Amino acid sequence: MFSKIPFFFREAVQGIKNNLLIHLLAAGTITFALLTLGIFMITVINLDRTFNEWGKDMQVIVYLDRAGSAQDIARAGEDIARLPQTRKVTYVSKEEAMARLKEGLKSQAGLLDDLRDNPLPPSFEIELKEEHKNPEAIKLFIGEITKIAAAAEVDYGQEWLQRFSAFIGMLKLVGLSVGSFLLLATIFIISNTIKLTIYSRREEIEIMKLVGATNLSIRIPFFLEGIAQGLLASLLSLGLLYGGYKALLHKLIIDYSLFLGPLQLTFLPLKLTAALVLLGMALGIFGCAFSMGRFLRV
Amino acid sequence: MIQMFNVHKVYPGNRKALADINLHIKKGEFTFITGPSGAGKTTLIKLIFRAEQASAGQIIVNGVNFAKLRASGIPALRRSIGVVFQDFKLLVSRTVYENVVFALEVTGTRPREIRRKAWQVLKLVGLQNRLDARPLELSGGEQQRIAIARAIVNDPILLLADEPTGNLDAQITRDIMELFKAVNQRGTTIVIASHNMLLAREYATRHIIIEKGCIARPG
Repeated sequence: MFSKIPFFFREAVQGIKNNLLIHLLAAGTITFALLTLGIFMITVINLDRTFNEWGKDMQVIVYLDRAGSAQDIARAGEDIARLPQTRKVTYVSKEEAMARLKEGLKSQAGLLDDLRDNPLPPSFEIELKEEHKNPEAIKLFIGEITKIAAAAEVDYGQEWLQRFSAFIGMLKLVGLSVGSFLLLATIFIISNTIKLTIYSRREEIEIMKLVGATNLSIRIPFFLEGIAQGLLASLLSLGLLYGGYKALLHKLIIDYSLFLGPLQLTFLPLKLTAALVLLGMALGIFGCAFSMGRFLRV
Repeated sequence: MIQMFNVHKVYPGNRKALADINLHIKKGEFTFITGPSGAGKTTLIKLIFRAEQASAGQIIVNGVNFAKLRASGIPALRRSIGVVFQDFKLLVSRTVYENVVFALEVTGTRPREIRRKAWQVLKLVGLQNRLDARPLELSGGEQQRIAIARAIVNDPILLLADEPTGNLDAQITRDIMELFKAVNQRGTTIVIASHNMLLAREYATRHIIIEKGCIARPG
């Protein structure tokens, strides 16, 4: 078998040369599929990342029971500070809260002068440790906080966080289903394209069988062609993806960052890039293997 | 070399191609199988190199009983048999040399051996000066010579030919037959299926006539 390795490579090169157009067609199909998949992956990754970035700016405010004693407040403060997620706890008294409100209202602060009692509750402003500044960790943290007796209400932008979290979840699901559908469609198209290639080369296969080639010896050059096809397609799609990412998406975000705040975009991580290349090659091989079967039964 | 016992071949749709064939072709024979179109000559040839399977009966080629032959054993069988067709079955995108060495490369023969054997057979068929030509640049006779060179380059013990001169004129037909004779003289058993009775009478050491799927004259 090893003595045949140079022959396999020569055959694969010859096969590509002789059927260049069909090979390019198949590679183009794989490129298109991988490109679409890549766009989905980049979009989901960046939205997820942005979402987590936004989570980092979040602060949790725990409003305390107005009727609580100084002792209750002090105990609550200690309990919060003891939680592993907590980095810093700042106590905001009723008076300080009122002062802040007045400062916020500026010229209309006089409106508050008529109030007999201070209706604002005392609160704790909690800053979380970096590793806990993400929506999932915040949710866990809130669960802990609500167990504290003096805590009356917790504010962490929950509604917004939940909606956005649901949106990202849905996007991932759509991405996954569209991605899987695309993958299946691609396998089908590739298999048909390669069937065309193999159909056009059925005589060659017939002759190989005639002179006593084993099925494996016949398959290997086709597999090599499939790998080359997939490799070319994945590199091409990654190139296009990177070009598109640099040119379009980057510009778009710079334009919109005024509204959305500073955003840092990222390309596909190395692992996913490698996965895309492997997927391309697997598609090439699978397409070949899938289409060859019936031509080998000579 | 070839033994057939009560062989039947029925194609899908109950199309009977061969019925009750009993045959024994000995080593070194130059056998012609003749008969009208549709008599079953091609099917008989196909059964011998296991391109088709018999519907019933026993076939033994060079000691290999096809009833016990697994799919994985077919390549080894075919390496001991050379086959030549009316339509040559050449790889048109490859040169004369590449077409011939293809049969050796595919079986993992060493490069030095490939060069030696290819040169030897190309000289035998008289194409040693056309190594780099592509099949379609050559005449029909020359194309059939490439096919013969490819069929014998593996030193087969048996050479099968299905209407090898069907597309060639009279003079080239004689040249090709002389070539088969030369191959036969090297010890290779030859079985040619043809509708040409005259050719059979002139060259065959044994002449089998087949009609309507049955052996009309065992020769």
